[in-house]
Amino acid sequence: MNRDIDPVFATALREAVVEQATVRQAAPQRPRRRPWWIGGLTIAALGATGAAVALVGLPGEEVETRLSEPQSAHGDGSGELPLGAAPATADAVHFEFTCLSPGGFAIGTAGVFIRCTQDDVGHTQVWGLTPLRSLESGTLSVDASAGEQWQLEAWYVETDRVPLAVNDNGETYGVDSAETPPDLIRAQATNGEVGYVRRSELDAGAGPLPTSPAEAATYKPEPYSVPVYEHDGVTVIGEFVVE
Amino acid sequence: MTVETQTDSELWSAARDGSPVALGAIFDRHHRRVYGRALWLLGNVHDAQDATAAVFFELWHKRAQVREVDGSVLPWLLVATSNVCRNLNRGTRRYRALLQRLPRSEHVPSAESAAIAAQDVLDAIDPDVASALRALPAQTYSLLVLTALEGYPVAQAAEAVGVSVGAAKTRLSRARSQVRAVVLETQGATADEEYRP
Repeated sequence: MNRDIDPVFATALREAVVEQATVRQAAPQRPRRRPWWIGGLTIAALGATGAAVALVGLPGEEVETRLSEPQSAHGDGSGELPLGAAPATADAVHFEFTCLSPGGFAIGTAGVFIRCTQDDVGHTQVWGLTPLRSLESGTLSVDASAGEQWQLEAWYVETDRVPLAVNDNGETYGVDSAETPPDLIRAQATNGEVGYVRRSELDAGAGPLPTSPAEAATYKPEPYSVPVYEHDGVTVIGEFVVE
Repeated sequence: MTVETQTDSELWSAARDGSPVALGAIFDRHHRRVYGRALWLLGNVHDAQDATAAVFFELWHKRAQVREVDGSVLPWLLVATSNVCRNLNRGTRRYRALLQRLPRSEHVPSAESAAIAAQDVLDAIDPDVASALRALPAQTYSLLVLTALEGYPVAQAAEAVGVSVGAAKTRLSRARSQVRAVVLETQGATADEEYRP
């Protein structure tokens, strides 16, 4: 038998091996499930050179750029997922967690806690961001009791916020956030249309808030609705009900 | 970066941090040894190619846990090779799609390889020996590959596999009594001989 490796195969294999280390900035293939406790995120798609280009995402939206290869681990009880040194521009860790048995799981050291019931097992995938300080020596820890089984995948990201847009009336509009609160907040109307609600109308519709403990005891907020506009803040396309 | 003059340590450190050039250099340095061992263990070209590919994909996938022995990642690669070859289906499962996409030359079997054909070379040697070898626990199997087949001193083999030298010696002597010496004699070495091929 010829003991030399087939050169065609070796060349192709070398390319495939090396390609793993070439981090691509494209959007991931799998569909993402929106986590129930983190605001919406979009994966930015950068140009082929990886140079900084305009962030792709909704105004006001937090966008994340993957900076490292996903690492994964699974375990029974407490365990660890080593991620290596953080790339220079990383400011957060994106994690995806699946519980393989019921239980309570603490991820990292920044207060992320996930509780799974039997219904969640194997189905529910919780994903989100945790700050770099959640790691210890480049490792993301899982704190759980013996018998509580889990699967975890994580990678470093750089987060950016897409700047708010401005309409012809000088009002800012986009996704709401504490960092950059817009005048017109992106929302979905009861008819399914997506548009914007005016913050001042949201606040006004709530009516007077209680100013004393006695008033607070009897305070019963009524549901109310506000118009949903196009980004111009003028064209009404539906209504949004505040419970 | 001058790749040729660097030690494995420097190269591996760069590769682990994501340098495609360094990772390619690690591949260049060691893929022939990995392939040769896989071919001996599996007895056919296609499986040996699959095993070699799986070993280097694992090298990247598990890069945070790769151990160097005396500044070289080759022992780790050979342990990975023995693990993958011991159970090829399991070792290559996660890389199925990648493996299918890799192009391969038309393989023209020689008369010798036709005789061996799809048989595992272990079966060709002696079926009893083959089954005894396969029955060895994974770490013992790797220790045997590294010492008897690759010629590493027991101390380095122990380090590569992740057991103490004492444990390695015990396991190897137990393996020797379980498996007849005929396989080791065929290879032209015994576990006691310390040499570098």
